[in-house]
Amino acid sequence: MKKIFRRQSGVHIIFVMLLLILSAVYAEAKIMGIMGSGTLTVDLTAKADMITTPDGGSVMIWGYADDNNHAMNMNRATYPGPTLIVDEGTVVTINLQNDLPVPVSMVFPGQQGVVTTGGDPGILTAEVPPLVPGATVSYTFTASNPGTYLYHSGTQQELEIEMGLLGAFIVRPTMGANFAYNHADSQFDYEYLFLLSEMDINIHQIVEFYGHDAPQLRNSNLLSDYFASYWFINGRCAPDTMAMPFTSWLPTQPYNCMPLIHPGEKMLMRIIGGGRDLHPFHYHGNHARNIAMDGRLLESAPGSGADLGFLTFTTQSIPGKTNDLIFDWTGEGLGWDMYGHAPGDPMEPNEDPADHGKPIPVQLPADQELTFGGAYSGSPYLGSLGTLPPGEGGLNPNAGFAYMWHSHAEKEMTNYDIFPGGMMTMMLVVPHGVPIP
Amino acid sequence: MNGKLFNKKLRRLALTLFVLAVLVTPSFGSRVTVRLVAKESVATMPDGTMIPMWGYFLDTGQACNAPSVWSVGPQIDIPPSETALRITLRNCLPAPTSLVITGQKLPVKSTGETLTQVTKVDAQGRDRVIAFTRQAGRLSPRAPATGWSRTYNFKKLKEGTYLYSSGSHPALQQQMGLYGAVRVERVAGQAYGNAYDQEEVLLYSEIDPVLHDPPQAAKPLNYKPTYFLVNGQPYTGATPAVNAGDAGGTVLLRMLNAGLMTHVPTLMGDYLKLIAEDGNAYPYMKTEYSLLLTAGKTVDALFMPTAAGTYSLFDRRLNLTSNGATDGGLFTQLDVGPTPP
Repeated sequence: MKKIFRRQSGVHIIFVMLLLILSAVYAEAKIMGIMGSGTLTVDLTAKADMITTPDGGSVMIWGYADDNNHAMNMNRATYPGPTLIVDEGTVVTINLQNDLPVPVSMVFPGQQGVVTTGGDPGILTAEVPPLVPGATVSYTFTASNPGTYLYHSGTQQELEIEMGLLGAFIVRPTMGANFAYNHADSQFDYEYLFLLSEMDINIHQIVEFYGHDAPQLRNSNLLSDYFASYWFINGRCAPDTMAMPFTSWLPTQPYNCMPLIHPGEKMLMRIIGGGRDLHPFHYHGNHARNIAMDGRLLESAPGSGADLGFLTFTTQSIPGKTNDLIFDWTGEGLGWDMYGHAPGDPMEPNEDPADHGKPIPVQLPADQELTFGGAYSGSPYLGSLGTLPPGEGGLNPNAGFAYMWHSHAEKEMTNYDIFPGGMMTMMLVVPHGVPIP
Repeated sequence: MNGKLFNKKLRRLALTLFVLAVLVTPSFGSRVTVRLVAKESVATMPDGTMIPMWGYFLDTGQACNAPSVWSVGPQIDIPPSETALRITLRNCLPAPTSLVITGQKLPVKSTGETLTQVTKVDAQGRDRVIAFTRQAGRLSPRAPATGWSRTYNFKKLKEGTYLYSSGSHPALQQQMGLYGAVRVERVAGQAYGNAYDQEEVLLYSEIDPVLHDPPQAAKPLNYKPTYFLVNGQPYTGATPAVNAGDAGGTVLLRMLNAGLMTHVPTLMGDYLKLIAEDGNAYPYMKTEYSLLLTAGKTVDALFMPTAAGTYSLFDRRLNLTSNGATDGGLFTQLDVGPTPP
């Protein structure tokens, strides 16, 4: 039976209204974190806590807790630690205290001239001793260069980074908040963080039940013959990556990874290798242009912009390194009008005129011939909902196009062997008019 | 003039000129000659563990069973005046062995014939490669008491940083410790046209002691190294820092991975300029604070510190333990002095 779908504008408007009301509480689509300009002082304490994995698991972590409760979780530790976002030239001071039974510290790859006060000398930097109430180490530096960076513990890294002492660090250029670097090549409309990491639950369970110095850990090769079983984006395993940020049922995992984009607009992807394994991070939907690595534009000479940038659809995320990419999606070359327009209908923003009004070249199957996923809107057209059998759909109220963004080491898309899970999320192309929180 | 006669004269002139050119072209330098012996040895780790190894040593005529302290193979330096290398390898190992330099052409005999791979027909009649180049036979009752030798000539060497290692049964012989570095210079004090003041070779490798006694081939499911070495030793608190010159100077870091696992040398506190990979110069320097060093890879990087201090270069794959103990493994400190007045 042939069915012709047309935009169901009535239903569409109701959902837009709902989302407008709901989105009033959210700021525009920038990465969330502790922000500062000129000077920023952050008080952190390294603490132990638990995180949740979607297979019902509970994993002990060591995390940086913001003493000023950025995560709105009663000063508990978070995984990852708070994302720090400063303007270029800001003098950053981090005062670190320690509630853990091991010495801890912080190092800042890519930052120069970090000065420390207090603590005991470690092999990389000054360390806060364990079990000394009030002991504090201050780390001060000037964030002179815009870009995407990370921070992590510089003490017993093979154990402390694994346990969760890491976080993202972003420096915004003087050119403006919608640029990643001081060049027009880095302009974006929305930005998203992809802090990639992994865990071997055996290590966390031994630390939890027997302690960090237990022979079960130190006399094993768990830290040298490393074998992960959970994979995270921004501290969550799929499908929790797609849940709301700062949700009450994930108090120690405040950040999500739910990228949304309108056709034709630019997304800045900040990919960070937070763990110790490489991950091939793969984004369906289009190539992205890798414009910077390790906080430096891929430029042939200063001022030349990202002229050494390259198009790719998989980023080899290397431990400790960062990649900045610009992604967009237009639907050009599809061969049919993705909005289901008739030829006389007005154009949407950034719509490719070549396909305007072209009908879909296939006979659409009837409902009885389909099985349904929760993200199906009932219609093949962007922004159009179609009829669905009772109880089906519901996860795609704006009728967007969903693309899976994930580690292409496929086993990393599991939660301890349970699929789907792990290092995975869905990027949603939503029609113009849908607010992006 | 008769066209045919003109052509004949022209050709004779061309031939004469050609012969003259060949005669007067200076022949490119003499060669570097290195005599190596491959023999069983013992490495002692900082925690006292003694591990049987196979290693390359300078051949001083030592007996095959003479005790020796293992280290990475002798560094082979080719100065700008030379473009050829002759290595004579004496084999004291209980297995045939050979030597290849990954990234350079295969070695040749004195006659110029390439020493191509060695194959053997297996029990099912299939041709199997057992060595990448011709071998020196194993130490056996039929061999001379000092072992068989094989000479390898490497011609027209490319500039850069290269790894030499066994071309025989590499899954067993390389992880047993048969590797070293080759430095080929075109212009003194320069690498691929970049001048430097200081230089350091950092050869990374690993040891899985379980596969050393008796020697076994490493396989993906059985290789679990517990020691991680920089120039043949894991880092300890007593490891001396590298002299990285002064602020305002340029240090060339030649990094090689003779191990079987991926490493990510990462600099804390400053950036590196990556200039070459596998002996091939990049068209543009890459400004990054870390680099991907997969198994067998070499990367050359410049470090141009602007401030004095101690800079750490460590493996961000976190191979920083020695048999489980922390603060070991692939860690190096670079000491930079203040700018001289």
